Amino acid sequence: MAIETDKYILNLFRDNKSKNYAFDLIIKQYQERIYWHIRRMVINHDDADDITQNTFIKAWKGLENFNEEAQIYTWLYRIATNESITFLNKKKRILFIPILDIEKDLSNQLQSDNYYNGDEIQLKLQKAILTLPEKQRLVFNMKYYDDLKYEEISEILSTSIGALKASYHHAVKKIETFLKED
Amino acid sequence: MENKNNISKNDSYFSPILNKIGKENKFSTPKSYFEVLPQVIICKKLNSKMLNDRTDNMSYHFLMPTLGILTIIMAIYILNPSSSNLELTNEQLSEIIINEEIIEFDENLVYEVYTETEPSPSSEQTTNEEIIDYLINDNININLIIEEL
Repeated sequence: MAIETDKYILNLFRDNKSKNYAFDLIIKQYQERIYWHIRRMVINHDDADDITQNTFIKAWKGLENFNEEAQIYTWLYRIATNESITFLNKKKRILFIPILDIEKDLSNQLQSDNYYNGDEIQLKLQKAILTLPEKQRLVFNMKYYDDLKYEEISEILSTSIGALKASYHHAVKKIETFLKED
Repeated sequence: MENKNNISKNDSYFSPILNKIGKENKFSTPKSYFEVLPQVIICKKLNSKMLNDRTDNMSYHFLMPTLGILTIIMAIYILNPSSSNLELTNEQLSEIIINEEIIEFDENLVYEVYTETEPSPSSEQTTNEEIIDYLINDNININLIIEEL
């Protein structure tokens, strides 16, 4: 069904008269999933907002050459993931934050974030997720929160399914250990 | 081994602790954020398109001709031999001084430069008449000189 919808949207996009309408459909259909995926990576709403906008602008520019065999949302996820990683790397460079401390910085941001209202245990879970290496964090978020299939994550991250399963398993183990502490 | 079994039996790897906490999203956004977002993105897209079009137009109508003119001016300047000669002639120097383009200058220095650049009277070429006059005045026998030569 999703593929049919994609086909319908792409057909609309190829017609100059309905191009803007098709793009509007894409945004409305995928904005929330993409935003939450980015938000879990960068934590701060303003940063997530900027990256979401950039993701869709890039999608608009690349939609002409979009391969019909792929799904629009996995393609959008891939752009969003790349944009988030680029943002985090830039942040590390600009603020001279060592690689290991960027997650600490995000964890501090989470505590003072007006747009986060989780209780103590949920805050601890988020902090546990932030201790994971970038790739494990991505895999965990996509599997646990977004309920994506390994096949889809594999397409987004260009990683083998076996590696993803192992990555997810390690991530869960680390989170469990973190949550059991004190 | 235990890990491998867990992975292969269950792709999602069931965790009792995570199950207890739940997957509820505790992040939130400003009010009506997702209602406004499509319009914001479309505006941004239009702005970036307009900016691109403007840059293209500028480069076509303004930047390219300007660049062409600058190249021609540079070529003329480089190929013109007089423009590469940075040494001023005495006349040019005098003109600059007269027009008070140089506000302060050392008069002694100007005199020294002037005497150095002006050919000395001794170095001027003497005419045959002057030589003959000189020889007559000093009572030198011309025939004797001719014989020696």
